[in-house]
Amino acid sequence: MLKYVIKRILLLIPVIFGVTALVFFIMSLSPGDPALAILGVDAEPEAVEALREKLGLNDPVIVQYGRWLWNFLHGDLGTSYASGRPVLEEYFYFFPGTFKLAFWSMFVAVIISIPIGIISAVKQYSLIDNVGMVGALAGLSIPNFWLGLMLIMVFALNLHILPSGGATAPGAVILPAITIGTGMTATITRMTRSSMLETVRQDYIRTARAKGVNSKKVITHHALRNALIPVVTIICMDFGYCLAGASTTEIVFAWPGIGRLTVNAINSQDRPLAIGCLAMTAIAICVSNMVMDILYAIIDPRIKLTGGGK
Amino acid sequence: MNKQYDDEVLRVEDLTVYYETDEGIAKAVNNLDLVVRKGKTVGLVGETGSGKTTTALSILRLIPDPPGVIKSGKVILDGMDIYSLTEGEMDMVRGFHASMIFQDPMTALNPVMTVGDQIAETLRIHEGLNKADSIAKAQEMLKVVGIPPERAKEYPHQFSGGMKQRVVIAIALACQPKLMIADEPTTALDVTIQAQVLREMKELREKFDMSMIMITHDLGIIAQMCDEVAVIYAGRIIEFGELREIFKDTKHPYTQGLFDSLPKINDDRDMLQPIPGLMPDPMELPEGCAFAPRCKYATEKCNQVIPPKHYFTDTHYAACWRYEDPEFKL
Amino acid sequence: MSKKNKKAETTTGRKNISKRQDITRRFLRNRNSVIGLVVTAIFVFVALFAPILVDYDTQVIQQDIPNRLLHPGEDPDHPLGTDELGRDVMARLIYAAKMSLAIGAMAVIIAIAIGVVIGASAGYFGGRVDTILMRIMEVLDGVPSFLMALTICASLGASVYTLMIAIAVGSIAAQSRIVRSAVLTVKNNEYVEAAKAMGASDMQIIFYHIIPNCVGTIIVQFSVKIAGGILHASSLSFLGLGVQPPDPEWGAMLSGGRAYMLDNPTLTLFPGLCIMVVILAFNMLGDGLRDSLDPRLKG
Repeated sequence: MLKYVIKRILLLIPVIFGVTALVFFIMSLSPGDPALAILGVDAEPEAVEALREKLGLNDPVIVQYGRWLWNFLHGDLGTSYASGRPVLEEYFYFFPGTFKLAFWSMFVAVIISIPIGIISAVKQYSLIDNVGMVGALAGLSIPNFWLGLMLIMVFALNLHILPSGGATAPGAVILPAITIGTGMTATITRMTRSSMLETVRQDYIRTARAKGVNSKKVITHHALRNALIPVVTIICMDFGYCLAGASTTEIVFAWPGIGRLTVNAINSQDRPLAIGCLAMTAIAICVSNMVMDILYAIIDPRIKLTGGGK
Repeated sequence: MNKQYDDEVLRVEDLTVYYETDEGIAKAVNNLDLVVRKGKTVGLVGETGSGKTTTALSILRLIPDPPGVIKSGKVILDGMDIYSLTEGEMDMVRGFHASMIFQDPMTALNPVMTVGDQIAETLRIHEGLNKADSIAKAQEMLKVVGIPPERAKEYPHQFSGGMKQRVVIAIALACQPKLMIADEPTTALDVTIQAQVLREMKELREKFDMSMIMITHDLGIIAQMCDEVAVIYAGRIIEFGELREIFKDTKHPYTQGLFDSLPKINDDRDMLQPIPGLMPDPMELPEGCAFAPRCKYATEKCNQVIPPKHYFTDTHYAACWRYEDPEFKL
Repeated sequence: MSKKNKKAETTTGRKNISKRQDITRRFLRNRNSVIGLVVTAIFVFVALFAPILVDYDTQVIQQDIPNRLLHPGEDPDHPLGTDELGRDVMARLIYAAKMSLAIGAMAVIIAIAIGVVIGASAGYFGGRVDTILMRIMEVLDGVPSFLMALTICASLGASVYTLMIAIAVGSIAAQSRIVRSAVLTVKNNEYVEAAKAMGASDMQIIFYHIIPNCVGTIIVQFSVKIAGGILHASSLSFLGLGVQPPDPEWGAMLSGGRAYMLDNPTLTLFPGLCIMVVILAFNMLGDGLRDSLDPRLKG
């Protein structure tokens, strides 16, 4: 287990290296001048030049990246141009908000989607199945930012029962969680259904029936655990992506989270913050994948976590 | 209709099973009759797609529905009319009165349950044992099939193919059913393991005094295991008899064809003679005898009317028109 | 055994039907996929003929402040009302269809073209080529595709072309992976071995034998990924990083309408509906295509 975790971390290094190099390179193509952005358009050219020098923006990109990487390896992700605060501090200031949102979205998604997925599969082509599947497809197709706005329109602006944004008001998490949860509900429902359909066709389900297990118990005792294995993958993957922050939803609801932070940083060419956030995101996704593999090994006895691959 | 016996464990009468798909109706089993007597092993031999497995699954009402539909027929298992039972009653029959061994042991066991649990489950359902007792009995069953009892805690992937099939057999035997249906139990195994498993199955059948239906396409296995043989073609039994009758006094041209397509050890000059043509499409069965298009003896009548059973002895019959002619010989 | 039995029975039952007819029949039998196809076709039609249906200069971009924020039905000239600058909402929605579909389609074409090359090489050559290419894809996957697209758009300057490239880059990794696994299943078929034995070059094998056999997978991907492309494009435009004013785009229109949500809710309602319906249609089409062309990918 420990060996496995170490291996995962070692594998993460080239990914972080690649991601940051790529982002660094892309952002350096930007015609905008961060120094000018910090000081404002009316700034003296000398002051801008001095700041460029101070920030190291006059060095070749490769030198800038090397410096960034060196600092990163020492646990220093630099300072945000915009706020002047350390990037890591900014990141962890917003992280709890995103985590909370991710958790509640996932909660909404899981409690709705898994039962519907199972019923759809067991009663294939029934009314519930048809309605559920069209609903899932629709949920998959709704853009988050639009769904968020519609929810605000109905529940905040017209019914006045829930806050339209922010994170402090009671119940503030409900609408954004539903917004993000809808898309996840859709994917998880579809996955549960197809996985369940696949599982009930397996020979061991027939073996169980042949030894007298009744049709209900076959589903709950034999099919479910097998069918949920791929579903757990999807759940963990979705959760990982949630930790990157649901940018548009966070913006629509003015939710203090990583997504909004990252988008604002990228938009305002706040390079240290943008790159720092993306690097942290890559790490967060990797960690949630690792958790997924560990969960996998718990539900599926065929899988052993070893340092030498599965 | 077959003769009545006092010691019948299973009687199948006029069983007809169709698979109704969008492509058409596949007539998998057609008016099939079969009797299995106590302590006997009946071999069900036929090509892939001849309806062997469908017959077996119909006996336990395990036909996937849709698309499978039991159109007609009656199955009397251990005195019970299977098709009149409720689903709940049927659950009590499966695994207790009759159980089944499947073809592919690799996929027949639940990968996320220990083998001990999988054996114990059937004991808990049918014998009302508690957790500890059922596990203890499951370990006993493992010992019976030649697996060290302490391996009950392991998962299927930790076993080899032959071992897995032994576990499947242990599940099937756990409640000592009257009838065991084995659907090509050794096809997926290595030849050496095959022989071992078959020998054990034969011993266990005798030990537990069960009846058995042995489904296979391998005449060698039939010769080794069975007391009686039913040759099935296009969902119909076309010849039935005691082992010796089928092997030494073959009557149906199709059975003859099966034997001719086997290599013979003491006659190496003969060329193997495959049966010309293919089994008919079950969606488009011929009007008369299904074998007629491939039969070198076929007459006009064979093509038009389905032949009735022609009895040669009390136990031996063939469904062939040509035996109306007392002079006819293969 | 029963499964095998049945398969043998059903396949022999359709000897007179060609593979193509069979696929068509399977596709048409599914109500959802037909609906998807029809709706998609309508949107494609509107997009193709948008410049004829509406006049860009006078209807799409010309401002008419006195008539701003008209509600739907208030003025027969503007059946769906006007936006905050008095432009006809209907005309802008129609023109935006052209933008969205063009961006989605181009982005997917770019991504699939690159994905096919990378995926096919990785799958076919295997070994070190595979390892290196897949490591690179892992890096691309390290950042969620939307954030990657966002970074590119923000850095290269927002325009329709940047948008296409940005969205394409975001889905190259997934695309390559799918093509790679399709190639891996095709690669070990006998006919590929046979072609190799007859001395065909690697390129010949990839282009004549392997890619044609992955076409089903690629078509399905095309439909599903266009939906994703349109979604990304509208999200980026919503954030102000996509299509730039005065050109209309559903996401951008929605963003513009936000300020008037209380009094003019239709300004956010209609563009959103358009996005949802077109994505839903492509998803339904994709599902139908997958079920009829490539049942392997089910789920």
